[in-house]
Amino acid sequence: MSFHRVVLDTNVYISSKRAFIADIFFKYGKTIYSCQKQIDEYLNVVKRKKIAERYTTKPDAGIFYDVTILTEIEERYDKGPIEDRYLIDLCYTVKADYLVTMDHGLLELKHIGKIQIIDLAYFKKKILLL
Amino acid sequence: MFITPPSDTTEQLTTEVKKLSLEQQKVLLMHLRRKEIYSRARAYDKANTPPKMTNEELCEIVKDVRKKTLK
Repeated sequence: MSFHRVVLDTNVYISSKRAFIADIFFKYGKTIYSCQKQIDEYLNVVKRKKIAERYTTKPDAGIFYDVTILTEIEERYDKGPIEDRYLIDLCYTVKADYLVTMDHGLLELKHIGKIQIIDLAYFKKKILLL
Repeated sequence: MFITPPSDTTEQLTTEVKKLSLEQQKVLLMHLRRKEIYSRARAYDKANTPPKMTNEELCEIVKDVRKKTLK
């Protein structure tokens, strides 16, 4: 089991089972980082009608508090779409090895410095070795 | 872990836990915390089905929320 610092995009939190997110931390020993901005974003996304209608419980961000390390972001990245910058800043701040996302725009970048931008399938297969 | 099972009351259990070393108490606490987190996660997964939409649709919603937050 290798030690990796990981940032998961909000779309990964929404599309994955929470038990899987817990596995990333407990079973596969990856350190997951997040920030308050991402929690707020997550709570706004799950309120959207198309997503909210599939949920029977009140939206909560419990999984962030349970298995991620919440970090204060240092704003320093000034390239690419402005709306994605906080995620890159988070990666920089925590010196992440991987940013796991399903967003094509971010995936096209492939890497920013030493941060590899990978999709969930690659993360499962090559990093978690599932 | 070295707790004599079964302990009927909380008081008995507390006495047993106090017999453990600090290191063992830490391990026990981490084990219980992990169990609690998994049980909460599974209950949440059972109650809430992941959204039925394509990755693109989901990413679009996330992007839209992101853009609106910037305004």
